[in-house]
Amino acid sequence: MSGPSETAVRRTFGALFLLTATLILCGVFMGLPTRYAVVDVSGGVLGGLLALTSVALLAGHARGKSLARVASYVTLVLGTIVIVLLSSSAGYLRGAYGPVGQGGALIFVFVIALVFPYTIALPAACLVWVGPRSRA
Amino acid sequence: MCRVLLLIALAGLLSFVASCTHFSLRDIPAAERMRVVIAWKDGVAVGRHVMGNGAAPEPVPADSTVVTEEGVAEAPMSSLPGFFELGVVPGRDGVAVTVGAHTSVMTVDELMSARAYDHTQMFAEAGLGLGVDRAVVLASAAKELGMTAQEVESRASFRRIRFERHVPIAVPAVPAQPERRVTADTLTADDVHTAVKDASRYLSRNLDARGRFRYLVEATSDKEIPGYSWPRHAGATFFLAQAAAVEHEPIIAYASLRAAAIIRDERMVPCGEHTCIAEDNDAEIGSAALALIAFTEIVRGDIDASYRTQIKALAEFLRSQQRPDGEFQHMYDRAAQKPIDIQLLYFSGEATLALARAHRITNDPRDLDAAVRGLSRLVGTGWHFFGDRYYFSEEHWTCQALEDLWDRAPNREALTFCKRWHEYQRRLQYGTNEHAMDAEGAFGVGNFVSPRLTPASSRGEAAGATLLAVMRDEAQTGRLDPERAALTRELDSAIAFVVRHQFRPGPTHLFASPQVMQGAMPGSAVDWQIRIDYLQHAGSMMVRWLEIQNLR
Repeated sequence: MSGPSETAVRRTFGALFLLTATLILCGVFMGLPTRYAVVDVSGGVLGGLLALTSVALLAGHARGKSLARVASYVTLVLGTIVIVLLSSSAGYLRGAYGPVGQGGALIFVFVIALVFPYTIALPAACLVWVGPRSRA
Repeated sequence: MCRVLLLIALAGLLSFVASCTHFSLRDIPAAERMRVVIAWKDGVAVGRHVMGNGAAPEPVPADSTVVTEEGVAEAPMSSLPGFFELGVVPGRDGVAVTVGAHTSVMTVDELMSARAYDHTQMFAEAGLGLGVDRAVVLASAAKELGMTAQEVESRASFRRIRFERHVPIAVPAVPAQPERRVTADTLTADDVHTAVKDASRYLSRNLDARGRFRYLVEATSDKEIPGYSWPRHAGATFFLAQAAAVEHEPIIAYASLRAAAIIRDERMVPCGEHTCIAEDNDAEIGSAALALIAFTEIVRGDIDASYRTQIKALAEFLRSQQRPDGEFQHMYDRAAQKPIDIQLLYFSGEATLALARAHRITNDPRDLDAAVRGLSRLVGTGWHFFGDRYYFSEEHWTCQALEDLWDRAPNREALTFCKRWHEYQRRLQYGTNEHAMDAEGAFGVGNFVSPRLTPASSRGEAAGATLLAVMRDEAQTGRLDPERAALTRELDSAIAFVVRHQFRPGPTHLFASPQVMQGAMPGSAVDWQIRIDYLQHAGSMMVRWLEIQNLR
């Protein structure tokens, strides 16, 4: 049984997951200039999972919170991997190419700032809301 | 929370629609159009009349060119700094400043003449000029309206006016611009030959008695701007040698020799046990690499075989700067007699291409080995990180090195790398009507930045080189490469864009010396500074295109 505030939080997370799914799918398949299987498959799977989760949450499906937990863990793991890789790339460009690599390093830092709210902050907040599996 | 998010989204949407509607251009009915008639002589306005403002036209000198600019559409402009500058389309919009019942207008030609486009620095990047210079507009309006710039700033309302220029047919002594619009679909070998001739003649004409180019020239005033770059001097020399071979004009070959001689006689200095090119203590390898590229072209084109000696010496210097992993150390400290291991833009690709070309002359296997290792580093370990599919450096020299080495040491990883780089670049290449300015074939990331000629030229050079490598690979393997058509289109579009913007003769009424500017390549449609490397990249791209046509 969920009260009015629980419903509002569920819908909010549903909307935010939908927004994140849209941003990831548009970013990967429309924003990125070339196709690269590793990124395309990961982005497609993550975007699909988040879209499915958002539908479940917005519709008030019984498994919505479980799905949100799984989606949050997957997003956190992938987000962390992406941020670590981007950080190492920025460091490599700056270290190996000096002034030439500085522009690229800056772009990677901007990308980290852009992905952080959606791939780290949002799933972390969602996990706080849904709680660990044992309490579900 | 959901409602709040929805409200925010709705507010954003409404704000977007309202701003879009308010600031969009509206056509001005023919009867209400403003017509500004300006008489130009030697690039300077000598008479001006706004038709319909009640004032009698001023008499104009008989030998001036009278140009009418007609305002065909208008839209309000924000007066706020930052928004104001980005409120016009450079080269197409003028600005009307109204205070009470009085209006002052700066037309497109006047803004061009005042060099007011693309000279606004809005971000930390000093090389990126955008929009229109607010201070120039305010100062001009203040002068015309008889008030201070501060008064104009606080009291005026601003509109952008889309102007159409009408130049009389009988412009004295200047041939008319051809009516046909050059595009990737209409581009012909004649277009390219003419463009190569005009560009090489411009460089030949702008070479002084010592063999130095007029490095950077402001087209409107024909004044030289201080500064010089020896790598770019060598690059321009290379193009002159290329053009001499293609167009068979002795005067161009002679110009290439004069430009090469000053490098050989005045700039080649000892760097430890080797010979490099330097002006002071620190030598960079870019000058040596581009001089080597120029000298090899002079020998290859049978202009002067005596440069073999210098080719051997410079190749030795470049080899001595290479690290075991194939990367080059880009500087050399002549006093300490040791390389400085830092990397600058372009130089590794230039050095790799230079050594590949030098090997054809020297037949020294060490030159070939160094070029092969340089290319492997550039496309392999040197550019291997997460995100390397989406972020690239400037690789136009790399792809030319790929092509040059293909018949002796084909590198499929390099071919894949260059095809990927071009796939990425094509996403940045403008198609028809994708920019407010004439940008079809140019490369860029949006309307706020004027499309520039040199990025189109350098990418075109690389597209031509990659295309040649693809064609040779097809001939060897018997398999058609699906990238071939896309590369051809990319190259054709880039050349068409550059040819359309070459001064042949350009808006001569705004030039102090139109004859001197014939064939020049400006920075962009609104940046009329002419730098020698603009012509080199454009010219080398076009020579490459002609080479491809000959193979077909």
